[in-house]
Amino acid sequence: MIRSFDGLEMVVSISTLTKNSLVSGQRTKGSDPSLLPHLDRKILMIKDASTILTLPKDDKAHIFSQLRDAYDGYMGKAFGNIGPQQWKSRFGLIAGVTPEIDRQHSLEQNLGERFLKVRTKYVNRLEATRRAQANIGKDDQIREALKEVTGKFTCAHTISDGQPLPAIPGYLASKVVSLADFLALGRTAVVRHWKTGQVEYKPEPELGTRLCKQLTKLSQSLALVDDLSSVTLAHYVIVRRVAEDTLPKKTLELLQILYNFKDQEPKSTQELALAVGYDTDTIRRDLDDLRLLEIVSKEAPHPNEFVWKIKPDIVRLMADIYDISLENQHLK
Amino acid sequence: MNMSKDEATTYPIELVLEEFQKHLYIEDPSLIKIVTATVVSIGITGDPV
Repeated sequence: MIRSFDGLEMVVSISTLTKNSLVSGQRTKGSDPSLLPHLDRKILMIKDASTILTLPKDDKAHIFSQLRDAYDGYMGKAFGNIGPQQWKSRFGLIAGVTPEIDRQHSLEQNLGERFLKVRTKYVNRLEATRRAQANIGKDDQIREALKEVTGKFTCAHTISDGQPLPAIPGYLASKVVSLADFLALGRTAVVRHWKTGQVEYKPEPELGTRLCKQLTKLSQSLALVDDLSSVTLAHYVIVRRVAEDTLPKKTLELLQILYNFKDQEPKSTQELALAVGYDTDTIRRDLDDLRLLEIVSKEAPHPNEFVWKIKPDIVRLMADIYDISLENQHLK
Repeated sequence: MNMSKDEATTYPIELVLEEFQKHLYIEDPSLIKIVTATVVSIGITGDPV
């Protein structure tokens, strides 16, 4: 799907990134071969960024660090051979990755995560496989057909005539604020020692400010795509799905189970493990992470037996995010 | 591939989704909308999502 956007004026497509791709530190006949200056006001599309995730830890950290720097539109770096260099470049990044990205969560978080995630889901896996089989030998033809429609659509919808971005109604704007706060809290990584599992320092959740901007802009962009002047509930639901997908999968599953048990007595680790479908040892650590993030409370009614309950603040936050009765009233 | 604003409204996202569904097995069209919205956003505002 990503390759269907190849060739658009505002898209730069590459197969992967190395630690020297964005800023190279080289000069070739006076010109800078760095990718960054070519990305201003464009989308960088990486067909398969999983290869980045398999790089040595330092290289991977270097690339994530550069992406974090570049996110704010400015990067400065000093090189031994060409001295200090500065770049101004604002760009978006769309990359395809495998679920391996979830294993990198802690690394990304420590470096200040800037990415939103969208997970592909297939209910009818057999049909998906059959269609892939039927498409053998037609790849080029399909790609060209899809490039043509995405080209026509983006060309038609990026006419700059000073039009404002679609408005976001107050009740949806408020929900996006709750969503951003929930996501910021839920995706905060708890850093543990790789061998002992002991917590290295108390986690400090990021504020939801950056996420709120991202999610609000995404909702407005979705309205643009639908040729609407205002964000609707349907757009909010898509944005909520993106926020859910951005959370580590296990964290989301656990939070939803805890939320479902909000009106019941606190649940034991075993009960929650059974409900989520993971083993007790795995869930115990995840619950302890949520306790450190002040999302759940932990009690010990009996020696060596712990029970857990989602905190009232989080219940209120999730109720605001998931309760759509108010939106239904707006839709009437 | 220049189009007027009027032509833009005659090229709705449904045409893109239809073409994708014609060739690929798409259970979740919102994925295409999300990617398209991200691209359109940078084209209009110059600012990434």
